[in-house]
Amino acid sequence: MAKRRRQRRIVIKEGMSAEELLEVLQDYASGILEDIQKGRNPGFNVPNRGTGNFIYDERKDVIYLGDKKSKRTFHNVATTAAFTQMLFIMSVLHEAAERNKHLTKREIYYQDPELFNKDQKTSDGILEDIAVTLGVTRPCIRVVAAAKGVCIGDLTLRESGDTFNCNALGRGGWSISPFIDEVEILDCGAEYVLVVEKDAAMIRLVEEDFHKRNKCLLITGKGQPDIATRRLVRRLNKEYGLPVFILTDSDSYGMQICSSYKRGSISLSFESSYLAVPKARFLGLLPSDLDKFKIPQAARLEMTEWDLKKAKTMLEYPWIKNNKRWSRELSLMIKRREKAELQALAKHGITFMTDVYIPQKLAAKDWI
Amino acid sequence: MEQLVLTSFKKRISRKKAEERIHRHIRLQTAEELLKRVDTGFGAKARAPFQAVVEGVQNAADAIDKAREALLRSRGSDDYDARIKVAIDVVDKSRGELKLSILDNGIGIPRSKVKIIVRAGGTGTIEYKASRSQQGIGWKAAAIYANQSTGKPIEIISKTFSERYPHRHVYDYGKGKVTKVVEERYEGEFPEHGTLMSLHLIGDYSRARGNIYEFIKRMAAIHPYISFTLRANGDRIEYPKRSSKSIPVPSPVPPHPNSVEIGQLKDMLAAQVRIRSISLAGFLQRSFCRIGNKGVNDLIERAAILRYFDSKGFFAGDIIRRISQSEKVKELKKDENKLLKYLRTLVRDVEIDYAMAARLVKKGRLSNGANIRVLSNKELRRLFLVEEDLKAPFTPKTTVGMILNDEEKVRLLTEALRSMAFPAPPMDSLMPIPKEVLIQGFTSIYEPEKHAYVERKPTSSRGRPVQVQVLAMYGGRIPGDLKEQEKLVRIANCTPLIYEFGSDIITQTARSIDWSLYKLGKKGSLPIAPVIFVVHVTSPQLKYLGVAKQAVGADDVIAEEVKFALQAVSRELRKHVNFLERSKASGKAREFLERHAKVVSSSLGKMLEVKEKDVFERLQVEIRRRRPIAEGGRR
Repeated sequence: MAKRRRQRRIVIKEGMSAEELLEVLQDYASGILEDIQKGRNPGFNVPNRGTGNFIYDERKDVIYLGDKKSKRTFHNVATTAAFTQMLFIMSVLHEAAERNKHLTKREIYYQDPELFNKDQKTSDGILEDIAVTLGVTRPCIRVVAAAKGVCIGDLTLRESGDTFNCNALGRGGWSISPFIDEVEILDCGAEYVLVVEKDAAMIRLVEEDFHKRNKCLLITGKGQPDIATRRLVRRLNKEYGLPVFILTDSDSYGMQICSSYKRGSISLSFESSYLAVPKARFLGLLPSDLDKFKIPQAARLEMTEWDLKKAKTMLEYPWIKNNKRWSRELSLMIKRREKAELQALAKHGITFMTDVYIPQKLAAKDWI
Repeated sequence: MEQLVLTSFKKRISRKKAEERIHRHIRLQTAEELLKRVDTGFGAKARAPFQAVVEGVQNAADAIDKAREALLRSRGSDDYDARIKVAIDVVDKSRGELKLSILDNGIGIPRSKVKIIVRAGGTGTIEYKASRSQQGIGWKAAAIYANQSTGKPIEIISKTFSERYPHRHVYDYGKGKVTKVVEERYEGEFPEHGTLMSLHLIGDYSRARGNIYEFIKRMAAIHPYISFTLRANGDRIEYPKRSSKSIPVPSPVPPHPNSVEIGQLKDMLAAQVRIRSISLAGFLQRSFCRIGNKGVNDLIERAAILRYFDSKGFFAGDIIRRISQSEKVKELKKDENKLLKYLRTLVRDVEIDYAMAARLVKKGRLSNGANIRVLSNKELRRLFLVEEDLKAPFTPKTTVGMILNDEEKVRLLTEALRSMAFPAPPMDSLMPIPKEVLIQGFTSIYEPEKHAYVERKPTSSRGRPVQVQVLAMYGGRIPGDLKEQEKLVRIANCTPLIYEFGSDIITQTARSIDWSLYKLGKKGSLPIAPVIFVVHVTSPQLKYLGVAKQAVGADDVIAEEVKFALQAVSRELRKHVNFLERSKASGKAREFLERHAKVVSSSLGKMLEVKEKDVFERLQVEIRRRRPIAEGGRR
């Protein structure tokens, strides 16, 4: 755990027009040019995105980016490449903004793979560096990532002139648009949002018409959620005041996913203010549910070394350490060395989850 | 056991006769006989011709310096067209007989003095000033060897400026004595003043050739104001006069007090007494350099303090050195309490002012092996808590005779002279090679990419001033596979030394340096890097190893001076080596940065109204400014 230090959080701008982006990019470029012309060492002050630079806001229960920065300059050979890559991508973004277009991460990488050492991770990282340096969210710099999330339920939306209801798109639901900020929410007939970690559980819920019977929206990020999915969940929570419940497997990975919906993640801490849903509730599968719902031993799995290590690391995070209910559940998991998937509930019958487990939990307010 | 008895001893003779026979060889021995028994450098046929050239050329160069001195005194300028011509002819190839003639236009030998020069044991200067030939037996050794190997006499033709015509002399060194064969007026053509010396000797010219050429080449490098011509066996090499910048004419200077030894002082006192027993003050001021009125008084007080130390039975000098040489003291320099505590354990044999010692250490005065000389009388008294008034062993008016008659006084005077700080000896008696001459002379031959020069301040050893100059040359046209002998050019009193490389104190000192500290090589040998050091030691009456004068003898002061000078130039060279290393890295960095600079300038060109080319050029200038590399350097 990083040494705690009093630091200010960086305030990130959430929305930005193409014109504004052009102006910001040109400002930076002019600064660089001036440095070059005056024989100075041009550089960027890039906030660190690593584990050592985040602030946990206990009151809001959100992880924010700290104010530690490092200098990337041209004449320091250790940072020459990163500096050049940043400036190069900024010129690419500039071009896209001039034409009012969006770019995908992959498109940016293919502008000059050689410059990025033939590894897209390099350009992806630099993109996030640029966003955080400019103090804006990634959508602001007009870079979109492929979205893989799905939403089903009584939600009427409008995107680039098309109006549709997410209940009228068949059992596949609506593939969440990467341009989520440009999607208008026209109407919502649901009373709450149920976020499901994985597709498998989603399919079960959809087949049982859970969303229609219970007036809720079903959303899945198919594993670690992408930005668009998290952004949709936040908008539904903020703009429509819908309560958010999260269903994941009972393992350290599931809890991590749940936590990142709720509080944001360390690596994308600079976007927390735009993505986090602090009021989201972890509905299940809680480690304590295993006994409560008498999950047979046969359906439980032993935790791997990796699971245990991850769980123990998480237990040290301030947002879990200082949260009694979260740390109790996590400690229980570590003590039992047991994990279970949502599908374990099917041991009691395939509709047990939809008919018994979820309604009973919601009725008993048995969440954390 | 049976005794081994030589046949010649079998014949019985009387005891008296036997003793007479044993004592028979005790008699006055001439210089000629002596020279036959010591190594004068003529032992090997491959070396003999070289040694003869060295002796002759040294004399010639000295004669030129004397002519310059005469010019300077009479005319005020010492510049003239000085020439040395060396001619070697193979007379009889099968026997290896050579004729060597050396002609100079130096001061010349007055007709009446020729017989002294050829006969006397030594003709070297007896003044306290540096000169190339200082024993005055070199040429005589050559003449003896010439006579022994060929049986032929030697010839001298000479003329001084004031003589009306040149005179020719032929001397025979055979039959154990020097015989005049000819003395006549010389009718041939001859310079206005100068000397021609020629002799016949047996030698292996083909093997001596390399060293002779090297010697003349180095001689010419040091003496740009003399033109050298070497005509040998049909070849002719000429080093014309390149500059009128000459080696200063040394003038005699009395010995420096710091390095006088007790025997030497006694000799000096005795010599004075033989003339007239004057006062101590007069004697000191006249016989030593750098002693004035104040010096005399300080010296007498110092002697009193030293006598006091003796009476208390401790050695102040040792104690001071103990502190100044201690590594631990150096370490604790910053921590006053610990230092004080340590000093108390270090100096227990006598109570001293520890706080004062600590202060002196902190000021750096009692460190790096400093000795008793760094402290004034007042400081010495305070440090060793001497409160009482001390009675001086002698006064400025004490006569020299009184001192000479009292062993104790002589000893105290010697110690006082050695233990006090006097200004460095004047350079007048030295013959340092002018900086520009040394640098230009050698860099034009070796064409290094980098050179460094250090001139130590003159110091003194055994009462004589000593000065060391070192020129270091690195890289460029200096090959990487030089032999050790080529890496270290030794020069003593403006004469290059070629033989006896390993036994020279200069070589030994150079080998003791850890060259890895300077990125030039390793410890225990000469540097591995392409580097040449030129070391010049100048001192009146420099002590050589042997009569051949090809190696400087062991001397702690000279060794230390040479070491410091070598280290100083090496530090300079290390900067250059570091620069080369950096420059190698800079070259790579430049390439890397310029590659990225292209992307930077094209990116800026896309975003702003600016020409990509202009931005790139500006960046390139800055990259090159920040990462300098050696231009044209070759490694």
